[in-house]
Amino acid sequence: MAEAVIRHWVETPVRYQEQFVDQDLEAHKLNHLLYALPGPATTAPGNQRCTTESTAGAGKSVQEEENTRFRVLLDVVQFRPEDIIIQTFEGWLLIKAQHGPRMDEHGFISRSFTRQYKLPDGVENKDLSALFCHDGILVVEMKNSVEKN
Amino acid sequence: MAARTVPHAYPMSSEYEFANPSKIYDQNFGEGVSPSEILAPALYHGYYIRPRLNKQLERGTSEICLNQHKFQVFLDVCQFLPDELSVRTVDNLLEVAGQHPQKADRHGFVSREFTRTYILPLDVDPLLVRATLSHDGILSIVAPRTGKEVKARVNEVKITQQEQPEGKEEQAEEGSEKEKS
Repeated sequence: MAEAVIRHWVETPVRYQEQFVDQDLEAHKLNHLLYALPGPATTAPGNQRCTTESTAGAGKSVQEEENTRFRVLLDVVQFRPEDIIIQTFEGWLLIKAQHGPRMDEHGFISRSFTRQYKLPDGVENKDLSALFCHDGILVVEMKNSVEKN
Repeated sequence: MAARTVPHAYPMSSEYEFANPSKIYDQNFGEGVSPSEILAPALYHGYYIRPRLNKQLERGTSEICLNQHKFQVFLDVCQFLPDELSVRTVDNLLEVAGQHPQKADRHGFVSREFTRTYILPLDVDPLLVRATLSHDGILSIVAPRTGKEVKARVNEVKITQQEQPEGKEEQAEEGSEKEKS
């Protein structure tokens, strides 16, 4: 995770609009790939559309699977992608975020936090993928479950 | 190089677009999100964003109330216990700091730390700053404004003129040039 430095501000053009207009918005709220910042980890939007269409029919089984698989959502609106370090240590997932003094409308602010999650047995660093969405949600989930879909 | 402060497309409020909003949101940080708290996507400035339930509540705000008689700040510090907070003034800066060790919450274990610095107006005496913490975790910091020291203290510095050394040309203007000639 450390080597992937994504510098990306809100200059992205309107993305994926065609995927939202003809379908139910509720159905898309947990498709985090639609909100991900473009970077090495995310695939092109065209490929994603194929996957979303193919999973649309089997929506129910995906939902059931979601209940069992490991996935962590974290609100990191205040942080930038390079402020965040994701580590695994002895079966624990550590998410550290830190930013130094930064100016905002009321003065200066610096923040840091560390979150720990217990990983399921046998899950290693290479099994996890992280997604930083432009609306400020960080998603860490197991990779192989994505491949199954 | 000033760091950009609004890294994501997330709507804070309608007045967020203005230069000096008296109230800013999203001061609670490091919060876990469960999928049921994510609402349907909404279009914001050409970007789809997902509103969250925890953002719909009027929490996590920082508000500055400034009038003729007092300077007041409300900061939501509900993620911290009273003894994990400190408020101090350094010259005309008001620093609010909080740090809590690892503790368990709904989503797992978390430890947090923050420092927020407000700038006191010129006519506020830093020694008169008082802070109270309400039962629901909102820190209120008040200081009276005197209105006295707003006038700039002007001190005229007298310019002493150096005498022209005798027998030298007038073209020498600076000391170094004088030495050379």
